[in-house]
Amino acid sequence: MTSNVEKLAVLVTGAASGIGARAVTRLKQSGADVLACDISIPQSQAGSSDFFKLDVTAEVQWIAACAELTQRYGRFDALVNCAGIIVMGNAVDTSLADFRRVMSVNVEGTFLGMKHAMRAMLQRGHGSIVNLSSTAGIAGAPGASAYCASKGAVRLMTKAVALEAIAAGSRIRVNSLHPALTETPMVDNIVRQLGGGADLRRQMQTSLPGGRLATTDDIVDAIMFLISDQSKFVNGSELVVDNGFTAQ
Amino acid sequence: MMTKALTLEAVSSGSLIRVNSIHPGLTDTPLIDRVTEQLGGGEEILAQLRATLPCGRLANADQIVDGLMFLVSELSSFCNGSELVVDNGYTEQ
Repeated sequence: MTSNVEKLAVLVTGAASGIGARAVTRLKQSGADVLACDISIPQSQAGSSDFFKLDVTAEVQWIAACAELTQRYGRFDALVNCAGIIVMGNAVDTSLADFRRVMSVNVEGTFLGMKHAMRAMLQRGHGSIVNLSSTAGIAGAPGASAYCASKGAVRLMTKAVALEAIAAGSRIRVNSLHPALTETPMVDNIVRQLGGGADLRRQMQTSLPGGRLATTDDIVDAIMFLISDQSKFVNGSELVVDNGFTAQ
Repeated sequence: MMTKALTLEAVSSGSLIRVNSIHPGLTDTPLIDRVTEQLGGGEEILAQLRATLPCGRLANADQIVDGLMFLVSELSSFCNGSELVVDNGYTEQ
């Protein structure tokens, strides 16, 4: 088994909270060089050069972030696209503005990240991109139509770009990751949007076969696998991390 | 699909047993030797097989074992009923 995470220069989006924040912590613990990007810098990180402001919907900011990683560390080995939002609501009740907002962050943000990371990675001919999709990118989640649309798009866009990378003669790998509900601020946000409390949270837990939500570490473990050389023949794949939720 | 059924049986029995499947592309093993032999043998058959792969090369056993090592380790502790495709994009064509 080969793992080379300690040698990697990695850009992580959505780094201020949830899976992205945990990924940054674990990558740094492993010795990787990390550029932690988010639209808002956490107060605790104000003034820290570790954090870089990135609105994933703004192409010019992606260009700046990718250049920053390359300039700081002399290479661009991996991109972890964690930034994402969810707006709950049945399709009949979802405004077009909300639908577009979800697609903008989740799909356009991922697209722009891949576009500019690939350009940087192609200079050396290798790299790994991990796109955070969801179990909602594989199976329908009623009440989350916009989110499902966005995560399904991420899933198939990932496969197309994986084939493009191979056709370009590179060793850049592009995979998607599909977590089940995970203990993050996004789940708190879902509960809030649905006007729920402890009961709703319990319902969420019991909707999963094992009766518990994933932890951020459960998901980051899979990210570490996908960015490392341990997965060097895994390309265009969708790694489901859901303790059997979509096996039902 | 049997893997997924077993996963759900294991989860519903309250265990922490995980059951996953791994899906290699063509891999450089004796099985490939037998396949080429059955197809008439020779470098030409092997070249035809390679040409079906996006990157034009077979997996090696280590690349598949890396996937196995992930699935049996704690790194995949929330992967259950999952399909790990190790094919460098073959099934995405």
